[in-house]
Amino acid sequence: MWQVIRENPRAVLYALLMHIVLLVLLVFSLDWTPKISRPAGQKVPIEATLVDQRQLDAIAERKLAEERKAEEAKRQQALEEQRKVEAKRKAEAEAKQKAEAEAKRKAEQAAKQKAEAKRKAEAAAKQKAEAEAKRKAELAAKQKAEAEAEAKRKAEQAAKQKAEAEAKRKAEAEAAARARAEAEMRAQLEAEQGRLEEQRVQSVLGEYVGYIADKVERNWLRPPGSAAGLKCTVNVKLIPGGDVVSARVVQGSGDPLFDDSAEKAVLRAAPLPVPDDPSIAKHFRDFNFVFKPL
Amino acid sequence: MRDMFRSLVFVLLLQSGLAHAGLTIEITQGVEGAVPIAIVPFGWSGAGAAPENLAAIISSDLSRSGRFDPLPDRDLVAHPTDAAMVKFQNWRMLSVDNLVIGQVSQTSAGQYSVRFELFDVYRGKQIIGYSFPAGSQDLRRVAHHISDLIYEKLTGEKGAFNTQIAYVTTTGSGKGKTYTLLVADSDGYSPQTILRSNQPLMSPAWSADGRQIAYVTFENKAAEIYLQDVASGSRRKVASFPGVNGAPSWSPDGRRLALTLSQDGNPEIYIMEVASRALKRLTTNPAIDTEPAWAPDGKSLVFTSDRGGSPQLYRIASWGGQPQRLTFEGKYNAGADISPDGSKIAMVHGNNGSYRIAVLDLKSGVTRVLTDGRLDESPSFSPNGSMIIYATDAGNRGVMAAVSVDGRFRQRLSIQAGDVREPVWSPFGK
Repeated sequence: MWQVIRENPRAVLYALLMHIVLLVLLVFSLDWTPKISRPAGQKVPIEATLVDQRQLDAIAERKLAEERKAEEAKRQQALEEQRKVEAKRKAEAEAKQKAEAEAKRKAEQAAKQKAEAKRKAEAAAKQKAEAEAKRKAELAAKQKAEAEAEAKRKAEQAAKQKAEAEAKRKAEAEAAARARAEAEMRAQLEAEQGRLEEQRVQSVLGEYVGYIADKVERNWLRPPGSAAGLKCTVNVKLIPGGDVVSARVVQGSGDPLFDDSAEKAVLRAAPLPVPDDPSIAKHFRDFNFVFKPL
Repeated sequence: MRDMFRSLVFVLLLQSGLAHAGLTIEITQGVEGAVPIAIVPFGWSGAGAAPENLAAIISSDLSRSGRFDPLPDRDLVAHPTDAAMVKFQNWRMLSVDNLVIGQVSQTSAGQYSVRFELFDVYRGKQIIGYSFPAGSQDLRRVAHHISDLIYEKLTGEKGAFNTQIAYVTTTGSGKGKTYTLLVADSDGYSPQTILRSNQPLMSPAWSADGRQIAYVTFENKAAEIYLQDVASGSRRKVASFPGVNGAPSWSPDGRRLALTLSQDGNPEIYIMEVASRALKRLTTNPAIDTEPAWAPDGKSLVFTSDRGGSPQLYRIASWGGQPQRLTFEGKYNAGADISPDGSKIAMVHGNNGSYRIAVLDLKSGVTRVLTDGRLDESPSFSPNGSMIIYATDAGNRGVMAAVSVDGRFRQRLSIQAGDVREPVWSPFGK
């Protein structure tokens, strides 16, 4: 619409003017319509002139006819005016429509042409790019093939070298592993023997710890009335037969009577029962008692 | 379980690889009992037979304490009288911890020298050795003194053998009935008469310094309280009020005497300033309040009262105030004596028609019955608190007996004649 207005300013101006004229005419024609108005409720004094009725009627009839004729003419004229205006408006509208259609057609055509040009350009570019890509791909494929061939050659060479080295290494490793396995087996065997020996020692130790503790406990005269929770450590040195060389409090309880009773318990219990096996008896040469009444 | 635990401990320590003394053995059980000791009869050098068997006196003392178990004479493997003669190995084989040897030598007529030595058998060394001059009358006292020295060295606690016991005996019957106040050694030997009367004598009480004894006598047909000097025998009357004059008890500071008087119509506890004889009434109760005993700090007294319906022990501050009931077990708890450290109360505990000596531990509130007589009475602590002397019924006659405070060892003191009542142990330092 705006496009049409801009392209046909004159037609628009005319149309506007026509509308204004028509509006003026309409307004004034309204005023033309006879209107008998009388202020409501106001009694206007009547000025009457007596005339002959017939005469009056004839005159009135004539007058009325004339008025009717004039009015008809006037109406015809207005209609004519209206027709003209309408025709003009119609013509203008048609012209405007036509112009709009033409402009639209032209625009569409231009767009179509432009699109076509673009499509062609794109197609060309694509074709070119494809050709280029193909060329490059072919080149790359060729290079790749060459490189692969080279790599394969090298790999084969390396593999051959590696295989030789591997074979050599493997032979060496196997020899080493054999040696190690043998060593481990020997060590395990020794460890197992050691463990069994240790178990035996522990077992015998435990047995004699029980004997010794029982004998010392039987000989421990706890001083009556000692405070609860006393604890002292007595270091003991024995000669192989179990006789006590020394029994000495190395960590006192704070109560000299309690400490003395602990030392004396060990002395009274002498000789302590110790095993004959020197490998076990050695644990009982120098050890500690902890006196800790429950 | 114990063995398992023990084994665990030693294994762990062994594996931790302690280089020195890797093995540790736990000792958790022991024997609570008397320590074996050998007391060899003392050698004698002098004219005639030995005047006194000191070893027997010492052996009896140590045995009576309950802490020692002297080897019977027949088991003595040797009779050494000086250190050079001692072969410790012999005594170790008898499992005795200690050995006592000694020698009594006459220095002149009636004068002796007493030497003794105490040895540690297992360590093979002398612990103590002393020599004392003694007259023939002192030999028993010297033996008790040696007992004290041994006891203190081996138990860490002061001995109370060289102390005395005051007590009352009744002999004869009818018109010939005689009451005697005596003082004997702690083993009942060497009794000395303090006072004799054909009227009842009661309630002896030692002064804190052991020089005086307060007692009740009816010699003037009514109860009166006298204080008597033990050494000189001089005495003075301190209480002769109408009615009851009874149960005197010396304060630890020796300046006051707690006693029972009924001058106001009812037996109540009073405190008398000995010097001025000023009286202060401590209790006010329509029940009978009697048998006051001082706490060693002098701040309170324990007494017997039947205000609760039966005789029970109550404690009251020495300035008075509201008494607090101490005993609740049994229908009869009376005759209190407070231990020298203030931690225990010895008393007569009546239950099911028998009256026995019991000890109330004030800290734990536990009452322990120590004797098993039918009519045991008048408990009195030894001044070291380790023993209690009391009177017990032995076939219609009272005898003295001693019990260790833990109740483990009980022994009658055998030698008194007559019916023995109201033994009271003297303080130290007499």
